[in-house]
Amino acid sequence: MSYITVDHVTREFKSFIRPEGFKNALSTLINRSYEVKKAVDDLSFTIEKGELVGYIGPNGAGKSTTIKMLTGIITPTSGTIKTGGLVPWENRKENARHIGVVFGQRSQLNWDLPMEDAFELYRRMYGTDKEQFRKNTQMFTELLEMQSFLNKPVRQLSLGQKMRAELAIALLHDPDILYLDEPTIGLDVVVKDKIRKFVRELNREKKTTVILTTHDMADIEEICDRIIMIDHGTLMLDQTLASFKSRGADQYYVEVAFQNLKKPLSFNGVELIKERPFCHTYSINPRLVSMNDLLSCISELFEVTDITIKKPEIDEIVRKIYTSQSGETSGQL
Amino acid sequence: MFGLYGAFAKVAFLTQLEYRGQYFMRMIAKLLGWSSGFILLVILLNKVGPVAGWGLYEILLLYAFDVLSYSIAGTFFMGGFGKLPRLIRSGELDGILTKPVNPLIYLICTKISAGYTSNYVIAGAMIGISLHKLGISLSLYQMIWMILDIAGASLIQAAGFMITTVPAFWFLKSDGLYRLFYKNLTSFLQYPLTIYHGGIRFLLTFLLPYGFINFYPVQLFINRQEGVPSPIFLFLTPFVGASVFFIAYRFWEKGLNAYQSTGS
Repeated sequence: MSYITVDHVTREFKSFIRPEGFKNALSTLINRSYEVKKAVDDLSFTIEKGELVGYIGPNGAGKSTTIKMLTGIITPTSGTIKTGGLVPWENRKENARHIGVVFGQRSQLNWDLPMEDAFELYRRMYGTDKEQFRKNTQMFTELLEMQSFLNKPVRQLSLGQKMRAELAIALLHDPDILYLDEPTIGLDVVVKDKIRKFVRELNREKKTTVILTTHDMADIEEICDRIIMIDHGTLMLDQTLASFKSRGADQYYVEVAFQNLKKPLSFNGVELIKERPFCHTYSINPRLVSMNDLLSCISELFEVTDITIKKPEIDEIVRKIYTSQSGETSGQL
Repeated sequence: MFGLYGAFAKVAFLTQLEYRGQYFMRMIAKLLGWSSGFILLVILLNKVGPVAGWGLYEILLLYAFDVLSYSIAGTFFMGGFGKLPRLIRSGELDGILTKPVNPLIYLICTKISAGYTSNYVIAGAMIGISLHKLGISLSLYQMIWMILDIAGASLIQAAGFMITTVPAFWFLKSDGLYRLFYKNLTSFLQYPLTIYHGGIRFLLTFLLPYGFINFYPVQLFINRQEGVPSPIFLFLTPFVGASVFFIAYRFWEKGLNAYQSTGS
């Protein structure tokens, strides 16, 4: 039995169709037509204890709806979910003791309280043991570098400080599962980095299972071991980060900066994808072109000032999958 | 468990006092609002004399019961329920649902409002002055009844808030209901219900029992029995309060379930 099981879960939403024109809008006061949309459609996956899972998908794919069902905020229309042996929405309060939730887009903190006081309130809410609480506060304060703002009211904190505080407060009771819904949205690189390192460290120390939704693929790269991708509410892909990245292994890029050229590279397996003055970028198919041939051609045709070889980023693989997917669906319509 | 919710309430209450300027401004606004109503009432009654046989201080007593129970209910319920549509839309409610707490008690405690405290003083003073002017001194037994009545009336007011705002779970907005079925109808309570048509009295007794907020219970203290189908009506307020509040609580639970299963 896996730690988290999502079994054939479907979640529908009813939304009313807004007609165009004033007259039609008036008629909706009396007669309304609704359409049923499936935010999540027959979704199944399992997650083991201690896994770091990146849960990704384009906007409106059903990520937040899934998180809401996993945390017990809403119920699915059909299907079952179990997290740590509990059905989240049936045992909502019990389930809440075992989870930590951070929504990047909205704050759970009381704006007028300093962090320290909020920590103490949360300790009482979860009935956390004092010794454990002291240890956790110390550990989080250190790892997230919060000493400087622990006694300031939340309203005076910067976004980055606030997000670190949110993260700490969601974890004080040592939850088994941590749900992070876009935790790095709007943060600067330094804070992003701190948060990513912290989540990894937490997972190593406490074996916390982490489910992370994000649009920043660097989050996935730095934190996760596994990727689950959904689109239109259905599972697109579920694999380890390593095998996900090998999807991009069928090509790489060479960026050549030069002072002079005889003529651009052009032979089978090489494609000029970006042309700027004194700098060309080519996409290379490694099965058709050997690195040796390529380098000798380049040195023959160009007076090279700089050369960069790049593997496709995870961002790009994701973009390809998203766009090919939306291409398919628009074809169906 | 009570300690935890108490701690949340204390924090919510004290942080409002921290914004002293805002607190005093609101207090003055409320004082002016209620006392202008009160002054108008005094002027009116001085000009036209008793209304349906009720003198100034008797009507003032009605007014004070209404203000006091409204303020007690407002202290606990206005913060959470007045902003329920916003809490739903902003996702704050989702945050509450991920915590190991009773959502209603948590909502009440974290949204408790300090702004009504001045009303307690005004209403208390009005009750005292009215009773004094009417030459009534309460026995211990009557005092206990008055406390029970105020508690029951507050529960009726709270149930009124809740039942008219909880539909936000289905419609996302519920201001219309609140205005129509709460604000507008409770404004009938300023005068003895005997001045209105029987239909209105019926409505405010059996359908929306706002009459039990002041009209029926107050008569016990001023030795009247008007417009009452049975003398027992003078004693019903605590029971009516408990029952309508129970209904309101179930309605809240239903709304919350609907939110979880139909969503927004």
